[in-house]
Amino acid sequence: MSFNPLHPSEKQAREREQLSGAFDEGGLWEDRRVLAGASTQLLSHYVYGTLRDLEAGRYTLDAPLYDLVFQEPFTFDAATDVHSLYGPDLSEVPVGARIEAGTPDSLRARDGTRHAVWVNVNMIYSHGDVISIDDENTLTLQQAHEGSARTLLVDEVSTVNSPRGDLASIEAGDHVFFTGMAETAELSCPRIHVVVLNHTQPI
Amino acid sequence: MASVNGSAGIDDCSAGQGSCHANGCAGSCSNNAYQMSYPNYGDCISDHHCSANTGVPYAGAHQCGNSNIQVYQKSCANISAFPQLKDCGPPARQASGGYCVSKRQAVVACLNSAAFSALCNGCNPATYGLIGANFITS
Repeated sequence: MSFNPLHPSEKQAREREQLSGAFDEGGLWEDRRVLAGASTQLLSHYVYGTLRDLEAGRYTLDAPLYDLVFQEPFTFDAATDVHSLYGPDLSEVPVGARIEAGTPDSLRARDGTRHAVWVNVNMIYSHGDVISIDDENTLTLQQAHEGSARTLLVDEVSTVNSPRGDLASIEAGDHVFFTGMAETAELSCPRIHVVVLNHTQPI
Repeated sequence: MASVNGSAGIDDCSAGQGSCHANGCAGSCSNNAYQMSYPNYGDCISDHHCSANTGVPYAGAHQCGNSNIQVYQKSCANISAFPQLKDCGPPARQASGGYCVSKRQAVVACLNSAAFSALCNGCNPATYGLIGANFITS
């Protein structure tokens, strides 16, 4: 299975064009946003939900869209890019885990079932102010939006975009954006295994 | 017409409902819809009502999440004009694609992973984290 991200499907290109606001004049973007918010359909290229059940090579998610919940299946295979603390074998992921998947239109089955080119399990995307650098592999930050403290764990597969590419060149009070795998499905999970950490500049 | 150049960071629903930023201004949070904050994001950090700060560029009066976002889809050449740019992608991504930035830059807006993935042609947002963007403001 292959997927070239530089050659999006026509539908993806349309969606991107809408997002780009290339034709936006006098509030059309707002109109699109309202329409998107009122949609009763899931996005085509992406789906997020909690794992409802699993069988060989196939997941079904409870996918929320505002007040609606869809039971949305998708398939995956050995070529699917997996980010999971349960290992690359997605059969070990427990029911209730938070799942997001990239499902390009070009890989839909004849019955419309999605196929995932990437799957993330219990992924967190957020940011905050650094409280301390605890050791060369551990950073504690104050979650933005008045959240609680989180511990970010860096290992050999993490990417740290900082002045020297490590935690040592980040200081208390700095701001960082991060992506990472939480140890539980809870959105407030305090321990995150970093995929990418970006030491960011204030505007 | 003015613009703000910088990065958009991903801010998903982990901050909870009603938080200001990619979740929309004090609105509902949904991972299965496109959501993003407006360009003067930095002024919105501690403001749960997301009142627009007219002292900095923003898109649409008194709107939050009403941003016009344009990504670098054809070339990275324009980025050289900006003094603080940041590499947000893997080393191989040095040309084309909305996520192509090469140095460090400020984060000026946030979006959720669904929107991020659409803007980077279906990439896995977890492996990028930031996307270079030029925000056209009114």
